[in-house]
Amino acid sequence: MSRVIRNVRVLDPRTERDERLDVEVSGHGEVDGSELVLCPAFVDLVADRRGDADDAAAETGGFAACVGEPVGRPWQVRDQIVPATPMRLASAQLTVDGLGEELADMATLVDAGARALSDGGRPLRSTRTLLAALEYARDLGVPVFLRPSDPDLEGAGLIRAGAPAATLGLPGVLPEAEVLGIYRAAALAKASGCAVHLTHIWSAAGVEALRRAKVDLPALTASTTPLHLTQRPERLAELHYAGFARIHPPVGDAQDREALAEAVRDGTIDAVASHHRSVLRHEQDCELELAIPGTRTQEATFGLVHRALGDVEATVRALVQGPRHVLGAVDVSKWALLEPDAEWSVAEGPSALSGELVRGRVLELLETV
Amino acid sequence: MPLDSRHLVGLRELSGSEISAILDDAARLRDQVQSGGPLNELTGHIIALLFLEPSTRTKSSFTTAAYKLGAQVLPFDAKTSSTTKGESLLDTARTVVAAGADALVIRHKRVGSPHYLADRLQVPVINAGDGIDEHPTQGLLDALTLRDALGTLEGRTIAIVGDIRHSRVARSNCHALPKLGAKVLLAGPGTLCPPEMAALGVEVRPRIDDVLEEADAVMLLRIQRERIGGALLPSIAEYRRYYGLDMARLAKKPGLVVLHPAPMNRGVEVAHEVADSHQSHVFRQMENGVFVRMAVYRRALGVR
Repeated sequence: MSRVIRNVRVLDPRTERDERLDVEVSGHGEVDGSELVLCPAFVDLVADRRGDADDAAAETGGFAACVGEPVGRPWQVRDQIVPATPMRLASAQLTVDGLGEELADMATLVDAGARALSDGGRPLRSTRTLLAALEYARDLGVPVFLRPSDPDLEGAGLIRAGAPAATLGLPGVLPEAEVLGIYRAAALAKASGCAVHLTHIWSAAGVEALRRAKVDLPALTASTTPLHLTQRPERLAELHYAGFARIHPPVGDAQDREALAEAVRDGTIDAVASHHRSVLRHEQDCELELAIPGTRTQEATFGLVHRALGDVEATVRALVQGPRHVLGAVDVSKWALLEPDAEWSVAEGPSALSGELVRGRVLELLETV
Repeated sequence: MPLDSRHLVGLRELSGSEISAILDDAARLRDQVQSGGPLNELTGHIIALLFLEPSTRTKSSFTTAAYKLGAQVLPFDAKTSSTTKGESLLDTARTVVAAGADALVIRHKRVGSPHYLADRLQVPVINAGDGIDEHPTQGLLDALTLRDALGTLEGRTIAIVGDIRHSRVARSNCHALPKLGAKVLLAGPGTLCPPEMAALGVEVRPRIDDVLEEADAVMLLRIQRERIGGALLPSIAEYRRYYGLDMARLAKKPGLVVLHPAPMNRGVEVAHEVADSHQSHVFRQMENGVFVRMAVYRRALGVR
């Protein structure tokens, strides 16, 4: 039995394929595909994997492969890395417990299947330790994910510095913290020869620094998140400073968001990673400052990114090709069927995305077509 | 969903007319108290004072305001409460409400704590200071004192000098005064007076002499001594030289109204003689604090 999707736009940024076709997939009947897009399934560079609900969220969001948050101890290897399915690709810690002090058993963890090394978004405080970590990781064949930031300058900020911080009375994070982090990471990536991927890019100044750094080091790659492409700092007040509204690093202002969108469109930012995170209720049922940041984003990632970019090709590139470029080969044969212009809202509830309007829906993941 | 108007979480959330209504009610209550009229409108109501940061004058003022309206105050001792046993703020607040409180006054070091509680509790929440964000009743009492002294705030220029960055008093005033028609000028060292405050519709200038000439009133902020000698301020002497209000500066402005949220560091941001001069309205601010808080209670508990 087969089902025919007629006149669907097939987009495959891996081969620069862009054509309209009638496509046969398993099932039965016939579907008008003139408003739909078929593309290779998305790959998520950073997504917390806590259980089956996360796998379901990934699938709903069009992802067929996800790199989980880093594990660090060799005893975790047996349980959490082997065997890795595409939905549960592992990353491993760069330093023990992500504390930035001692190097983790990186080679053991990579041999056991880790696809990336990372301290889970925690910037290393010591530049010397960072250099050592990159030198050690250089020959392991996997990229090192770094969130670029000067931790001293970032401090305990909860909101973008400038007008949002002044208006909402919260301690701010200067974009210059990201700028310094980008230059530091780029300089050390060059010095060590290690493949470095910068995550969580959030500011216009950071985008500008990234552009310059990539001129000197074209192998440097970077990603941002659907939250940083779409969310406004003012949402913190609209959500009454609730813990679940916390996003870290903080989201930027309108100028930052526009610069991020432009950087994704022109390829300066290679990929968008969902940074999907299922938190426990008690971790966020508290005041903003006490909350552990984290938002379930995978279901809405395509729609949020598409809303921000206003460009389905760039959106698909950032979710399909960008992550594969960063990770290397990913064994995924599924395809995602998209309805790019479907508008819908995220369910109301205790989430930074409560009630958020998105543009674009993943209809289903299809086996090889 | 916006919070309903019983709460007072900040002056950022209020319109000019809402602020004026509270000031008018405070002035009316002051007349009534001074003429010895009966004030038992809140008899039978219980107000919990949840002060999780040290406070003397604000807590006393809220307490007196409650007594003057016939309400009772539910004592809450942060040192012996369950918050020291790890109880969440929300559970502590719910406990106080379950014990019978009809309204909650909260002071907390975390920005947004009153907003967070107001969104979750059935009783009105009044912010008595949340971190560096706002101190709305202080902003209201400052506005009332300025209105008394200047006749109106419309077209007047108010200077605020000192540690703007860490001041919830400055922030509440910056939210309120422009809505009442005043021009606000800020001055302070670069480390303590960020240019981004201009986002609130105020003007930022470098030194006290850059704002005094134009000002009808000046509000001096307390410099916390722990900020001196570190990476933020070099010395008391230098601060006094460029940001302190002394008699020489005051002499050039005979009509200048001087405010300070207190406690004052005499000899640092304000000279001893200035603090005691007839141009100082510091103790009038404290008196007005009680009437403003009475008006805020009436608004919170729906008394007409």
